[in-house]
Amino acid sequence: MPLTGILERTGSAIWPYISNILDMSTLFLESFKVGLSKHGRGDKMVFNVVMNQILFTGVEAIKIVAVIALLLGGVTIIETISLVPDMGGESLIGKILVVVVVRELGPIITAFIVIGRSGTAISTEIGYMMVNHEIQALEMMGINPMRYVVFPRIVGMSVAVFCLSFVFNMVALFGGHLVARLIIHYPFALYLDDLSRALGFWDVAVSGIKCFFFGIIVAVICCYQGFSVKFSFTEIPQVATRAVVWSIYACFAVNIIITAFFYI
Amino acid sequence: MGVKIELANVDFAYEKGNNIVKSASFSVCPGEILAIVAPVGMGKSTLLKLCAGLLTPVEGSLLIDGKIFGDLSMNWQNELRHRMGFSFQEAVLVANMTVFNNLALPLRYYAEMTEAEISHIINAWLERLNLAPIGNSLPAALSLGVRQKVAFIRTMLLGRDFFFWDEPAQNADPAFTEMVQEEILKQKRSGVGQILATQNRDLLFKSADRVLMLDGGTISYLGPLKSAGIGVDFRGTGQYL
Repeated sequence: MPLTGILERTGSAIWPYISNILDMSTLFLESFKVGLSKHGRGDKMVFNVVMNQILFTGVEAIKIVAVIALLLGGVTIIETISLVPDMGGESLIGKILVVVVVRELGPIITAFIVIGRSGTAISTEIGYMMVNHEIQALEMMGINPMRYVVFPRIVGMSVAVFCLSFVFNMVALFGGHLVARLIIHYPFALYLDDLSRALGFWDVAVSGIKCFFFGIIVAVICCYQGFSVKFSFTEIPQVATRAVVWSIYACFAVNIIITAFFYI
Repeated sequence: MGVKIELANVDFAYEKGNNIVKSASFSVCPGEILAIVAPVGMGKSTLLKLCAGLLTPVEGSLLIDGKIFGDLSMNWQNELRHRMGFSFQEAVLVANMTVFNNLALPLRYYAEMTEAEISHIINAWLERLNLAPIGNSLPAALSLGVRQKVAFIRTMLLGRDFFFWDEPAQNADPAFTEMVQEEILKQKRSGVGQILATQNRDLLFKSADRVLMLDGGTISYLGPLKSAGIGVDFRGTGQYL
């Protein structure tokens, strides 16, 4: 096959992905442009939608985030405490917990919970609004869906996921130790000492930064997928599934970029 | 008061190559009522949405008071739309809001009135249409006819410069149909332009100044109602009225 043919086929295979990324970037930029516009209307209503999004994505998810953090933190602490001393490295316990729980698992699992719980809700809701012509009705009332629907969801979700990351880390590290104590004995004072020596400001900050970006990415992808519904209700579960898959890919990709940026 | 709406050589397709509207050109001046008449599924609603800027033409332009709508900033487009009433055939309401909040939504968004004024206006409309008891109901709990009445109120609350009516009284009782007719004529007298897509003969004959007939996506007739031949089966369209 000639080189031009290979390039053509590769280009046509990659282009839809690039096109989608460009479309989502436009959605994000446009929503912030109209969301932060001085001439925009309905500030109070937009603020209310942001608050509702934080309530739904953040406050109402605390319970599930806490339970999963507790169990995951417990397992990780048990594994670490039981394995590391055998390898002659007690001093590594705190460090391993910080790397595994705070830097990596905390943000990514918080993102997964939010994708499953709120991301699907956003894509489904917007998809329904598209089929039911509610988005057109909003437009015809002079209400810009970018400002009233997309912008508050992005802001609300990023703030909520940012806050949830702290909940996850706190519960996983401290609650997880309580769970671990049911199975394995490791004095809390010693555990706290290990942890305080290993845990730095930037570990917590990077965890928060990751979650903040995850919130933006998940909200943009889910809104984009919701808006891609055209004619039929049967498209809605398809876009919800696609929103979940794309969000997972995107969160992993951004996770590795941020990790590399801060720790290499 | 009142704006001029104009379509210039507009083509539109939902799917590439399958044009629903072909080379549509016409204008509607303030105080004029243009009725769009066509058999079911021939593009009446699509043409109406093109006139309102809800759909983007594949070719051609929508002009509002001589300015190309697509060239205006998003904020300007929204300000213009806020001053136009659009009555959807499907009586679209926001599903997770009560009837009252659906009606209050655009008024609150533009914050041109106090909450007390909004309540007063909405309650007056709800009482006028005997809908006061359903103010706190969600749209899913209402029949299509009632939803159409609520959508009509919302259209009336918003429309100041232009009205778009897509089968405004399709599922309603005769008294409501009469009320819609009265309101349409009242708006006409006050100099507001209107486009009406309908198959309701009474509504058409009592209100329309001009008629636009669609045939296979193209305009087959555009002119005065009296010359349209409606009622004597004009070019096969009359039979649908």
